[in-house]
Amino acid sequence: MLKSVQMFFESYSQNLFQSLTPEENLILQMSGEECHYLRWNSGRIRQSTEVEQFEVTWTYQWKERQLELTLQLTLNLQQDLALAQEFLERLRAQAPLLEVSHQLAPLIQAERHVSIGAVPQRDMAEVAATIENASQGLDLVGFWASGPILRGVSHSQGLFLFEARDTYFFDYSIFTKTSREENKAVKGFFSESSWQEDWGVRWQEQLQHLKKDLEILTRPNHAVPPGKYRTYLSPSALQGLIDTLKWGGFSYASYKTGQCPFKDLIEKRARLSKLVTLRENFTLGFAPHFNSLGELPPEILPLIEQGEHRNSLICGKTAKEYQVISNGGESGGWGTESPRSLEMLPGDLAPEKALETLGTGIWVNEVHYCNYSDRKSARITGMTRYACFWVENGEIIAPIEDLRFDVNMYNLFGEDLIALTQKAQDLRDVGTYHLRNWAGNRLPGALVRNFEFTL
Amino acid sequence: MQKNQFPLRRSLEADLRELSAIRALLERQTAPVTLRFHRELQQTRGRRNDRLESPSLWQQLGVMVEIYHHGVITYAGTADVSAAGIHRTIEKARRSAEALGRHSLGSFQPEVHPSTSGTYESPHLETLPQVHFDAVDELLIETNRSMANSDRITQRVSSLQLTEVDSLTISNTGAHRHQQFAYWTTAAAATAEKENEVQTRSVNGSHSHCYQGGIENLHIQKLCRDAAQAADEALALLAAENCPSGEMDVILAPDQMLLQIHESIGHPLELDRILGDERNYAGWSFVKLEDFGQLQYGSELLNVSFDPSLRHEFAAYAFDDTGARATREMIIEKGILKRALGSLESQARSGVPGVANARAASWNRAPIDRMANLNVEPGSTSLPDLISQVENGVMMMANTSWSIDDYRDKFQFGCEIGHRIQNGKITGIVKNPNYRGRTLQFWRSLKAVGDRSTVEVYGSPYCGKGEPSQIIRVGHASPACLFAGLNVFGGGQSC
Repeated sequence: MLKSVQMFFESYSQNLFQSLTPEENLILQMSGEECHYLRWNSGRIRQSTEVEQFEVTWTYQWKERQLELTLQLTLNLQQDLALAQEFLERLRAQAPLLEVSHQLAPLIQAERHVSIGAVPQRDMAEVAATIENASQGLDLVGFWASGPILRGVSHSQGLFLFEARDTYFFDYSIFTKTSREENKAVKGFFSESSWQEDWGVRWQEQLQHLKKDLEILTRPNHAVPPGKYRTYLSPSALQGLIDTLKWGGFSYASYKTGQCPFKDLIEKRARLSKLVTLRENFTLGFAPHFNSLGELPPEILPLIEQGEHRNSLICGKTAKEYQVISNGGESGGWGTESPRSLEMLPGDLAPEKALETLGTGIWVNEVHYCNYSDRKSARITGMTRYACFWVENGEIIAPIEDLRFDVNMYNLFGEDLIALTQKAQDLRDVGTYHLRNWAGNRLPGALVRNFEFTL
Repeated sequence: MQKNQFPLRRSLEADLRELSAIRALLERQTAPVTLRFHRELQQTRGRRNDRLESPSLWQQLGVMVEIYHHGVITYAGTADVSAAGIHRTIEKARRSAEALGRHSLGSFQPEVHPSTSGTYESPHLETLPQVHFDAVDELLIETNRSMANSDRITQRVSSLQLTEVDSLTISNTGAHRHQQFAYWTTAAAATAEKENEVQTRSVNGSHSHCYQGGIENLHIQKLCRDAAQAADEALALLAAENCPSGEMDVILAPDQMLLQIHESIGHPLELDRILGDERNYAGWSFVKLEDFGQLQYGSELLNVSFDPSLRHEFAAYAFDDTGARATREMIIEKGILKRALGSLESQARSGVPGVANARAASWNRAPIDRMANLNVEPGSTSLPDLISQVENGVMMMANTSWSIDDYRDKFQFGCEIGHRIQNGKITGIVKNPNYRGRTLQFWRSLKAVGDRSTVEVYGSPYCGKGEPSQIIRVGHASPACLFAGLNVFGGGQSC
């Protein structure tokens, strides 16, 4: 199936490119998926939705004018090309009325790369039975997504890149109540790099492990007054903060338009702790190497190195606008670049020592709904969520009521950063707005001081 | 289509060429099958610092097949809207229904997806052909220029988005619904910089001017005027003091009430959330089923309506995506919680009265409970009278930050600008105004509600929810409102 999609994309591309005039250029980005989504509540299926969707985004250029177009694809070549020709005429009519573009996307050097993984047969009835059976007696709520996803880029100067993989994940929560009827939950995530029929065995091992946290969650909440606390942030909790920083924090376009929370860092008025090294790392396999223009970023691009700014992400269009060199950054929403395969290097805190080193404070496993409270100061607010605990002298005492925090990232990753764990965790992006995301983070846990809880 | 015509105005028949064959295919199905076709044609134009950003056009077309099998509704979507493609997808949905139905959470009677028929149109669609590229460009160019009042204004952004949507639903049980929408979003913002200080001020917040309709949405002069004022205020904010901290009375302008209503009334009252469907992602709710009819949600001044009949407002429609006829309903009356934002499915699951609000973002998602036009009803106090009641407080305008917990209780919001009020008078502006609170305590502190003269209508194209996730359009109209004793603070290194 994926091979036929690749061949469709090649034929679609070639047909269109052959119809262009000498003054025209065209970059095509294809995205698609054929996925089965199962939504779970109380250990049973709430909704089953299967989606096959494919689309192509054009970057059309005529005499340095530029327009963008996204078309749905049916994979019926004749039909899709007929629609393409119709819209091509519309673009041709509009282009002469436009100004020369200051964001003209580059057509990079032509090359060819195709990587297609196998698509397994997956018995969804078996999947459903496995989940339901293991959920007996549990209040399990979750989201299963499985099936192939693909990305491809071609352009009228000969580029052809195509990557397609079968992937799956099960993102879930298990709910319980404390002895005072307060709602509590643990969070689980299961995914493997390739489909194995016995995936359920390993998932159920993970489930058993989570049940231990559930036991602690039945203790009554420990009251935590607002204030600053020594706090351990799990890799998943750290991800909540890092994902907020991805809104402009690593984008050159954001910096140039006054929307970057790390402006002071970039302009060397501030620095972070020497413990902090963040980089885009495509050797981790979280995302296709090429961006939506077909640009290939360096395999590893340091963004922040030992607390100092090194690079912001720059896509080809931003590079053109500001006359700088592109490093293959991906243009995300609102015209700003965002990391796709982010890694924070680990530290030297042994995970088994994290509780003891925390001593007395708060253990945060997950956070929720983070947002800038003051973007310029890199201040982020959010909530704790799921299994978060009050810890005394290295021992988990009780769960806590969900707390609001408001913290400054310069302090969190600066003077208030005590240690990072030795082991970092791979966290795949489970976003499915419109299409499944293809991205991820590898992050350690972080022990910090003065983490401010406000409500 | 005329050359200079901005909207595409493309006939649905041009894209659904095999509709007769599809209808015949549908009639041959033994199980109840519904086909929901959805087509979107979206155009976006923008200017930044007088330069044109690449214009974009986005076309989506597909169908979501729903098959009803032994009480369970199963979904499969495809962009292949040929008869062969739909046949294949119906078979796919049928196989899944047979394989997975026994694992379903519950079963429904067919009436939860009623086989209704009818049409809907956004107002003034007939004027769309009069919208020309020239007028769109003029709006963006002039709005950009109107913000160029100082060298310290480093970014001037204006944008317009027009989305034409056709939703056609047919079934072998007699449903036939065709709804046509034209959605407009305009935005303008200016960013001012001086040394290390950066302030952005927009026209009523990011992408809040969202409406249905025709050419009447091209308010060139008004947008220019408002954009110029935004630029002036961005400059003024550079020199302004930080918002003070403390417990104080706060007037929220309608362009902040938009987010307050959305996050702390809309989402907590979504019935599928109360029933636990969203607990793995967007969260749960502090509201319980037994609260409907009795919970004091807010002060007696709080009246909230769900009103999809206001056709100019962003989320107006005649039928939700399961076929329920959409009608105006009161959700909160004199502060008492009356009704949930729950579709027929959720009403059947819970026994609680709801509204027609099952909507899907597009053809590629199943419908779930969404808020639509959710509005605070006006009261009787003029804006000057609201201000005169404040001894020590702030009037906050234009949302810039929003966060709330997964039970929709503890929230925090930030705005672009605050007007300091002391002894009943506005005494100056403050920057980075923020406030935090808890939902019930907050709405019960509602002290006065602005009259009709203070009502403004806004919306958002970006309400996110669901697994798989989907973004939906919402509308929120509100008067200015006065709240007593909120926890207010400013920006800077720490709070």
